Amino acid sequence: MIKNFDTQLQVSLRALREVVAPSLEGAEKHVVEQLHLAIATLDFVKARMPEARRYYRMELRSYLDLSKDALSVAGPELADDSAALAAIVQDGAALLLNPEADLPDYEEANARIREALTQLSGRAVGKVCQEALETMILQHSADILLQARKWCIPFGFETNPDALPAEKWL
Amino acid sequence: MAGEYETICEKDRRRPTEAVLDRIRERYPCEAEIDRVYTRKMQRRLGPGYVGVTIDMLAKGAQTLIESELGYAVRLENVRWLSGGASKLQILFDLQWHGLRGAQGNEICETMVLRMEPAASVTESSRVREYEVLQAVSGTIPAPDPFWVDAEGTFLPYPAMIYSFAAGTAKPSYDAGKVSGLGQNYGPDLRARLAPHFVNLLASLHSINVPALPMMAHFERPEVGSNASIIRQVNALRRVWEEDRVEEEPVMEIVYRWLIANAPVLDKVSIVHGDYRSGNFLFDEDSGRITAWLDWEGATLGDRHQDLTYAAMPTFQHIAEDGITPLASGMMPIDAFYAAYEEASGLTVDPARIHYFNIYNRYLIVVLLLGASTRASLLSGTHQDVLVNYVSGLGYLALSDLRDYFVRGAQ
Repeated sequence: MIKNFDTQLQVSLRALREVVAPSLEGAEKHVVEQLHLAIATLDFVKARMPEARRYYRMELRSYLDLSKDALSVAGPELADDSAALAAIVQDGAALLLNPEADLPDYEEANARIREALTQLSGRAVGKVCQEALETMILQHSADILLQARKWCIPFGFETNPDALPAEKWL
Repeated sequence: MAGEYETICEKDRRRPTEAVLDRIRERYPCEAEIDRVYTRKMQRRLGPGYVGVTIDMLAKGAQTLIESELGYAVRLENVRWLSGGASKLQILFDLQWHGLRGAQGNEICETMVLRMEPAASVTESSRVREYEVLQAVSGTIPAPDPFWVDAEGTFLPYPAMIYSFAAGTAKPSYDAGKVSGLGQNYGPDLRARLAPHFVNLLASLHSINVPALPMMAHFERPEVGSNASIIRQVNALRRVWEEDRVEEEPVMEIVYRWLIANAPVLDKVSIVHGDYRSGNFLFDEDSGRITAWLDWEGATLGDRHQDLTYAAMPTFQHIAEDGITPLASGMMPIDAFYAAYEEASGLTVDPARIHYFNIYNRYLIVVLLLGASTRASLLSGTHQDVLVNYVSGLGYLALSDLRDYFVRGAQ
């Protein structure tokens, strides 16, 4: 179908690979390199675009979980910053229930939570809750980052991609 | 300052005001020349962004720069692009000239490289410092000879320098597919010949008598017995993270605070290359000799352990033929690398400083990948956004590695 993004990418990639790339034989090295990188980038988009909404929703859920745990640790000592984070968490939870939410909405919600969490962590310096909050952030981040690495596998930098945990967004 | 956190918003990153720049400068103090470079980076964001340049424009600018310095006419012939690297624009040309002493000498032909920064870069750096450090290592470390520098982009669209062309290859012919030396496999035979040279040159670099180098005027001199210079370096990285990041990563602020709180005192001031690894040197495949060390833009005066740990970063390792032993920069097992360095330099390798700089360098790599690279490509700031963007795909691997290493060290 003409409206289908996957088809558009498929035909573009085929043209670049089978027509444009061979015609560049003898061209400047950096020109050929940029073409191949453009093809690889489009391959990444083609592989991940159908899963993007699920990935962003999973990431948001992960940060909401981390934030709730962080609030339970820091809330009593850092009332103002915790209240700010709690409001952002509430917005994020509502977004997950909104069927009209789109990718930029999830991206924005994730970004706000990450800023607020980092702010809270900064304010916790010297407080009783500092160590527990930092430990919590580091613990939750392990899984979040493994999923981000899984997402980036099509870039080809993972030496042992099979060793990464299963996709949580599927 | 450690323990505090203040963000600038995305609007400030894209359209920074002088007040925003002052605030960042005050919060993350760094060396004066580094501050100048970072400030210029931010001020460029108010301008039109990177505009493509032709090879003719670069050749003309290079010729004008050279003639201005020499005071006589020269010719540039056989001008062509020089590919390689992710951060700078480079052209190669044959210079027909009469040497540095004036037009009266015989005409000679030398192949030279023009190296110019784009509007934004993976590593924002000072051409003057790069020029000065190349002068400082001349005669000790094989490296291009620096000739002229256009520090402010007076003759060229952006700051640039011209140095001699160094012959050699960055990758062995049988494993040429890798990007910029990542996971480079030199193979057992070539590795055995390159590795001693790799170690000995690092030992020689770190043994250069820094106080005797008046030409490094744009480097602040660190004090032995103080950790102030390391803190300045960490703050410079934190500043890049503040100015360039596209998304916050909560792990980064925790690590930043640790780096400030645990900065070690210097026991000796060394010239630190800053990017000493596979892929950043040229070699002769037949003789197995290193012919030139490249990419001195990240050089600083500081702690030798920075280079030692950087060369052994997982990103630059290759796994040996036994399938389990990581080789630092594809050269030798990490413990053997440190032992060989101690023997060659007579300097100690301190496990505590190794641990610190293992975290420092991991933090640096994340800042460059998820901060500078991502921002540079987002703002269409370079001549090869597609490459810079692609490399940023390594970012979560690097951040995950930083987080894991940091947690293991804390246990």
